Amino acid sequence: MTVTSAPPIQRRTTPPPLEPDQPQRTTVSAVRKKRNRKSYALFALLAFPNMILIAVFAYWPVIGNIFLSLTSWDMVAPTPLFIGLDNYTRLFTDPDFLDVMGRTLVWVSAVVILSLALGLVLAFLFSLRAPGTPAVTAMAFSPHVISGAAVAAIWLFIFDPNFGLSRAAFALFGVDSPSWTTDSAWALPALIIVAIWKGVGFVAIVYLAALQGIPHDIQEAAKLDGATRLQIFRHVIMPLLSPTTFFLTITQIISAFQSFDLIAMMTGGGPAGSTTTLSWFIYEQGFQSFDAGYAAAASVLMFVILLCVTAVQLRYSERKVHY
Amino acid sequence: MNSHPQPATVANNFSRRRFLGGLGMAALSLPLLSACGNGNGGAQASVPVYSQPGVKVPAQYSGRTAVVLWSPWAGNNGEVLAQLIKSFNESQTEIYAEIQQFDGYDGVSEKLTAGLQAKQVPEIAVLSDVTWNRYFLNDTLEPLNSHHGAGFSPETYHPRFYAEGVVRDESYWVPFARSTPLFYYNKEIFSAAGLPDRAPATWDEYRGWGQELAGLQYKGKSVKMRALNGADDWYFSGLLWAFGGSISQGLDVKLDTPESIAAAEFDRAMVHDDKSAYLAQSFVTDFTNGQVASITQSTGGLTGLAKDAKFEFGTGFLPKGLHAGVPTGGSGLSIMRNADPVRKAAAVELLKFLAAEEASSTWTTKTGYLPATAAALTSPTVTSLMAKNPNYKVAVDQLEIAQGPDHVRKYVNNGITEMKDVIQKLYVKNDSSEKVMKAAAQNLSRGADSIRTKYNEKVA
Repeated sequence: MTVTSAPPIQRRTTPPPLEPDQPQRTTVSAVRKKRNRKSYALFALLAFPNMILIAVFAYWPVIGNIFLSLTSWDMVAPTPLFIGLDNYTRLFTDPDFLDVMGRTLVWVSAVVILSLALGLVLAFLFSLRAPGTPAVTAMAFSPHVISGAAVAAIWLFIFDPNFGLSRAAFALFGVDSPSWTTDSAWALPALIIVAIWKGVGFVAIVYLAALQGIPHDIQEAAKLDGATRLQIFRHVIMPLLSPTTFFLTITQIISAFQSFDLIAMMTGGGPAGSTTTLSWFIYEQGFQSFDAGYAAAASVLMFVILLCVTAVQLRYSERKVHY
Repeated sequence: MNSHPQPATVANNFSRRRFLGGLGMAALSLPLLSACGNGNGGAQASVPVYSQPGVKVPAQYSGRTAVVLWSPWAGNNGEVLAQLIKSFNESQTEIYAEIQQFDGYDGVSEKLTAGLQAKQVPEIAVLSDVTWNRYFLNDTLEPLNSHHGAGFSPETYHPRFYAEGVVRDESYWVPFARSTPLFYYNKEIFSAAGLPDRAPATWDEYRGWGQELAGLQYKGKSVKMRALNGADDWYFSGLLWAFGGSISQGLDVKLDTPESIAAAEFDRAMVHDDKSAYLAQSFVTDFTNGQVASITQSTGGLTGLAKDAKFEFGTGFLPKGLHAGVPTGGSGLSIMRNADPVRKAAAVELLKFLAAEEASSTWTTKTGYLPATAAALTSPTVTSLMAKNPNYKVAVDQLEIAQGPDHVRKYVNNGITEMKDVIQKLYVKNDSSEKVMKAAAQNLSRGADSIRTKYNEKVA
């Protein structure tokens, strides 16, 4: 048996220190360093202004708001008075605030769930490409680009129980129109209707684009395997729409939480607080009751809630969303 | 080489500068001189000067001292004020005044709050009768006594209105667009219901009329006696006083007294028991469209109602209870303490102009606001208007029994928000009046406590 010795392993060794008589290697390293410095400079040049903007207009207000939430301040006095966690104690022991949170939950759930459901239905209808679909699609989308104030003004006319379209519609059934914006039982449903009308077109367009991106051969294959339409929808289309649903859910939740214009224009949080959601509560405390510290504490809570919602959704999306 | 270079404009406008500088010095020195007699004025010398919001002075007025006025008015009132300011600019050669318009009284207040933090304030701000006090408590309004002189003194104004802007004998806010609520009724509906052609004398009589009106059809529609406004608690203040109650006495909240609860119960019962009143989406529109028999609305709405109503309407004093209950409202003018002294002196000149007979009577007759100055009250323009329009005379006459807001309503930050919530709960939710009033009293007491130290130091 012949034993052959293994070839010697060539190990990468650290390069020997540069000698003064190695001008070429010195030049290459210096050029690389110079290039790196240039790259960093370019990176800093491009990123720094944006980082400054984000720091000044996003992070600094958040930090400032947290500080403000620990103070009592009417926004006119020269300096806020530090009161520790009193605003938070007040927030969590105020029965009215509990009502506000409950109402916000109803508002956000109703707007998000109904917008997504109706938007999906509309998207399916649009995808059938019936005559006139492009015009109807444009009409459905247009409320999304109209300002909230204009939408509110239009709907205030429609909802007027004495002279509005609502009166005529209910009169067909021989009943009086509800006092939509002045009845505490109807005011929140009225706002939900308007918010859905304004936002559903956007949801439908996004879903339509996603539907059009689903390859037909997958659906054909399911059909050949004997899947019914409902099964195809449930087990093929919906999973493939999950990234879109995920995106829309996040954006709609955040948008509904922050919704302000419709409430400001149509009900002012009333009657009797029946449309006071968290965003309106913050405005009311800050700019009508001039209790900046209390409003800031509620804002911090809203920030934490949205942070948690986003974190949960991100974690969920890693497991369940099919890209 | 000139060791003391002077800008050419200074040399060119020396006389103007000297004039306004003199006014400014006078403005500064008078409070110092009067410091022995008035503790408030003594701090003038150390008041920091804030910058002025951007002003674009037209070429024909260049070189003048610019004065900025923050106004809440658009529409007709905005146009009338703009015309007055234009007349002011044309009437002299030293000062240029500019109006900067915001969205109502709340808009001015929000902007002013932000401006104070940004250290940028106008010389004059239009502040409502329930917002100027916040600024006063925080030492941001100019004490005006030291600026008094010919054409600008306590005697210049209607005494009842002037007194509202005075704290411890010092004036901080002068009346301008003042009003009171009036009782407006549709004469056709009253006639169809067999009711007398007049305003009810008492709230009880009013409630009885509401019950009589039940089921009446007017032009094919079922009408009610009263449309209520949930966005303004002003009228409710009057009802509280009429029943012997109030929001507060000083900072002591009185909403939970039997008298105040009785007033709340009156409104609740009219809406929910009698069903003769309701919370309207737009109470003025409902009235002008003949949807409702009566409303209580500002005297400032007289002109608009006369234009929009297609029927004859009458006006009267607000009904009485145990007492008369008529609140004053509207707004006045304040000079900001942190404005430049020279510009403050120029701002006083503008206040003088607006208080003079011509400007104040024009403002009154073209807007419908009450005459806020002595000159306007007796001017031929206003007396002729009162002769021609009896409704307007009712408004002026009612002023004799009117009074300013309770202190909690005007000094406590959450006063207005809390009172709006009270009336909406009464009008809409049919909650127990006692429960609503006691809860509000508790919230307002907390708000009152938060300013009590400052209030005791400066007001009580």
